[in-house]
Amino acid sequence: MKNSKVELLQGTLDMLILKSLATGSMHGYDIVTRIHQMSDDVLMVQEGSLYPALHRMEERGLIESEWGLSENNRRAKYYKLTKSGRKQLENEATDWARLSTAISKVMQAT
Amino acid sequence: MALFEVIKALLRPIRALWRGRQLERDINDEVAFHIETIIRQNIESGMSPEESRQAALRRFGSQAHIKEKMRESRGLVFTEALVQDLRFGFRMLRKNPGFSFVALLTIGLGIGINSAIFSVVNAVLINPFPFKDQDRLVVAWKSDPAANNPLLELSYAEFQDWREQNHVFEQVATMPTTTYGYGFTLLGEGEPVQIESTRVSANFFDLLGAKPELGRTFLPEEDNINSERVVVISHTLWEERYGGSRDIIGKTLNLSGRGFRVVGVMPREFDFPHGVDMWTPLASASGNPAVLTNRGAIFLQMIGRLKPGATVEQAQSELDAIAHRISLQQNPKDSPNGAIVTPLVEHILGGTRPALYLLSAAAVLVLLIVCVNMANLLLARATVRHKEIAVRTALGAGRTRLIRQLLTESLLLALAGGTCGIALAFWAIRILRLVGPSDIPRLGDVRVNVSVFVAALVIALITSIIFGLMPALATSKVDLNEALKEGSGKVAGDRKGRALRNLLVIGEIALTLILLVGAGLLIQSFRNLQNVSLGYDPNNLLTMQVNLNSPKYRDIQQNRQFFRELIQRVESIPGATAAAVMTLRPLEGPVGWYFSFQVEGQSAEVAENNPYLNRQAITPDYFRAMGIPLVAGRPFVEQDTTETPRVVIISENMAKQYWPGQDPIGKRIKALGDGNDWLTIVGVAKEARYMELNNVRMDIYFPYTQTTIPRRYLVVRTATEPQAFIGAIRNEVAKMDKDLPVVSVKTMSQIVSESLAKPRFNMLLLGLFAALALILASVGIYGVITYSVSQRTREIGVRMALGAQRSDVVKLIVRHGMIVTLLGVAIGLIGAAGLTRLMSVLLYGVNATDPTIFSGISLLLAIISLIACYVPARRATKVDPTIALRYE
Repeated sequence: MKNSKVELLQGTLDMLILKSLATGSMHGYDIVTRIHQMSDDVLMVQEGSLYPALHRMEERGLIESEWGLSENNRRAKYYKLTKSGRKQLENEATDWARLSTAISKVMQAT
Repeated sequence: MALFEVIKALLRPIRALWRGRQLERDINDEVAFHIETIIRQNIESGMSPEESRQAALRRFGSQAHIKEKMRESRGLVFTEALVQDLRFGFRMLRKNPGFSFVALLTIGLGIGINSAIFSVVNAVLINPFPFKDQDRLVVAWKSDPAANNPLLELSYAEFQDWREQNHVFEQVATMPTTTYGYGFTLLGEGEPVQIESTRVSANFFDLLGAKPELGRTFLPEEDNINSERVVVISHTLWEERYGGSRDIIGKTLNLSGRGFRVVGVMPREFDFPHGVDMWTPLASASGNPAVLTNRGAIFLQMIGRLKPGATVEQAQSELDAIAHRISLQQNPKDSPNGAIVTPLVEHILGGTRPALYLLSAAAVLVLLIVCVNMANLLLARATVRHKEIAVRTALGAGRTRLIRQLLTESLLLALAGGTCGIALAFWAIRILRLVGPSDIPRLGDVRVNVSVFVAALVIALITSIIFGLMPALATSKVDLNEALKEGSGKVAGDRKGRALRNLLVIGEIALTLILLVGAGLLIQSFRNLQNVSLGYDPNNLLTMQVNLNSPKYRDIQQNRQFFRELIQRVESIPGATAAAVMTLRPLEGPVGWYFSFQVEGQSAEVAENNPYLNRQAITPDYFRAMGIPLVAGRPFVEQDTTETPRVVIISENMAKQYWPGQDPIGKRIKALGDGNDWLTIVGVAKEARYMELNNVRMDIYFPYTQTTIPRRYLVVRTATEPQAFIGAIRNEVAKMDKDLPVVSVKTMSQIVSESLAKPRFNMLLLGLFAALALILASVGIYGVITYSVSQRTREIGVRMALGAQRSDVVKLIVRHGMIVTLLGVAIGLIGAAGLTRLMSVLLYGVNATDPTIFSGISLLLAIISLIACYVPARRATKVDPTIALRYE
């Protein structure tokens, strides 16, 4: 399993987490897998960054968590978006769209 | 929103600590689940379980690191470190039980003593009285500047003059100067009981701004002599006797045979004058118009409320002028009167204040010594921990972390000491309330005062923080290599540390000396009081008050007949060897019947300057009963009657002053003033201490058959234990009049001991403080010398290896201790000479700078400090030079 490493831009991890949680609640491992899949196996989030980020975002009230049972009946901590998390996601998505378009334009300019 | 975020951020660490355990478990579970899931995925994709696990852990990276970052997100780091510091701090305290015990005890004592004493001071001296604008309230008396008697009571007529002629008072009221003699006998409710009471002008409560708890106070028309007799009672009486029932209002009480209707109840905090349970209007209660019109009936004081802006000095000078004018109008030949105006609060607290100030000052000194001792202990320990701190620094402990840890330890120490302190304060206040002299007003209301406790705690905290941090600050500048080697020599900061410790011990010894000298003076003063020649024999002497205040004894013949028969009955009790009746038994306070006199042959102008005599009306067996030696002449006999020439007995000191070298028997004196009878001296008795223990006055005795001044006390000399006679005597009284209360039964030795209560209380407390200070100071000097010995072990080893004698080594070390001690003693002596002057009002028969006590205490302190030095010095010489050289 070889992955080309792509460094995440500062601040984008939170946005990716929010985006992956937009479809429903999931635990940490799921989030890693989901981001991996959604990015066509390009982005591999480090656990070392993911968990502190999750806890930080929960402290800020963007997401909330509860303990539930995983598909194979293990106790797992599930995260889901809060109202303000959803709003944050919208804002960041808009910002990101503008930023990435802008960056692409700059990079494609001759 | 932003504010909300800030608050949340600030609260985060606290919340985190709250949820700490739960969160820790969550984090562990979450990480474990994640790793498990990876492992399962790996197994599913065909890896062996062991391989899967390895791969998972590799992928996950450092768990500890991730968890730490997760905690950080939760704001858990700070709090966790705090918990760690606290744990370490506790461990350090447990590891050095000796140090911890001394430190906790020291801080606890300092905080406890100060909280207790200042709580008392606060409750007694500082708390406002239940009066409105108490600063504007004053008490005024008359004075007779020429007759060396500073205070004189007012007559009602004079009070009225003062009231009408002054311009400084908004309102004035009057009441007797003492509660003595105004008590009532409450009848018709079972056993007759004596109730302390006072009489006041109707506006008394209004003037003080005191509202009743129930009912009303007095109405202006109740100042009239013919108005209905009414009474206001105290909260205590209401509660204890009438169960706090509201029906009390309107009830008529039988007071000494006359009916008084209860109109009001005062609240609990209203205790003025101290110990009084009933107030009645002056006019109707006396029932005798002469009391209000006779200018000779002086028994009152004036209480005034100054107009806003008026000062005590203005009142003083105006009343002075009024009193002067009136006395010139009334008695142009006498020396003119003046007035004495005192703020009411000062009047109430007067006698209590110096002692409480002294004890507060002593408590502060103890707290200072405690701080010095703490500083010393912490510094000494810091040097011991020097190496530990260096090691920790070398291992990478940051300076802030080190400081934080030392800070935590210091705080821990101070807080734990504070806990001991507050426990001690509660306990001490309970004891103070029990053993404190009963005439300290409001002592019963004392509770631990929170702000006082906090102040003491803060001082202890600051001390332990400053001196606890010193090592961390010093160490962070130290060259680690040097410090770790240690054996190679002393680090630079240490010499400074030693000098500081010496200074601290000098200060400690100086403070201790001051306390010891103060205690020594009080002890000497107390011994002087105890050894005062009373003039009477207090052993096997029973006294009690038999108050004939019911109307049927108003006739003086009835009164005399009653006492004549009572004495016969009491003397017939087996074992009662003599019984007598007198006006006022000894040591009831500085009140009594004064007598100003003129010696035959003395001009009236000269006689003006004679001192007032203490006057007693007595029955024939009086001197035998009291055990007062009759130095010359004869006692009174029943044959001295209104039909025979008037006779008196005087005290020996008066005889010696007015008839030096002559026989006073047969000489004549008379009451100062025109038209008074000449009185022939028939006897001379040893002077006795009547009003107060610490003052000798001259006495004059009148036969009860020739005077009408009251006689209220029965004294009985017994062959055996006097307490055993109380029942029999009560029985005899009841046989004569069952409505007559026998109250205030005390043995004379009990009375003497009670009047020593206040000086004993002061002496014991100050003595206790001084003893504590002495212990703390010896611990301090012992600690410093022990430490310096341990530092110089190598040096001592070298000296001994080079042939120094043990005595040389002892001398070397003791000299260090003694220099420190003597410096401390010298400074202390100067301080004591300055400070003990302030306590001279509390001393009797000893000078505030008594050289014997000063030198004795210095010697005592020097000897104790010598012992404290000698023990470690002696130990130093036991050191084997070879070990000493290898030491460290």
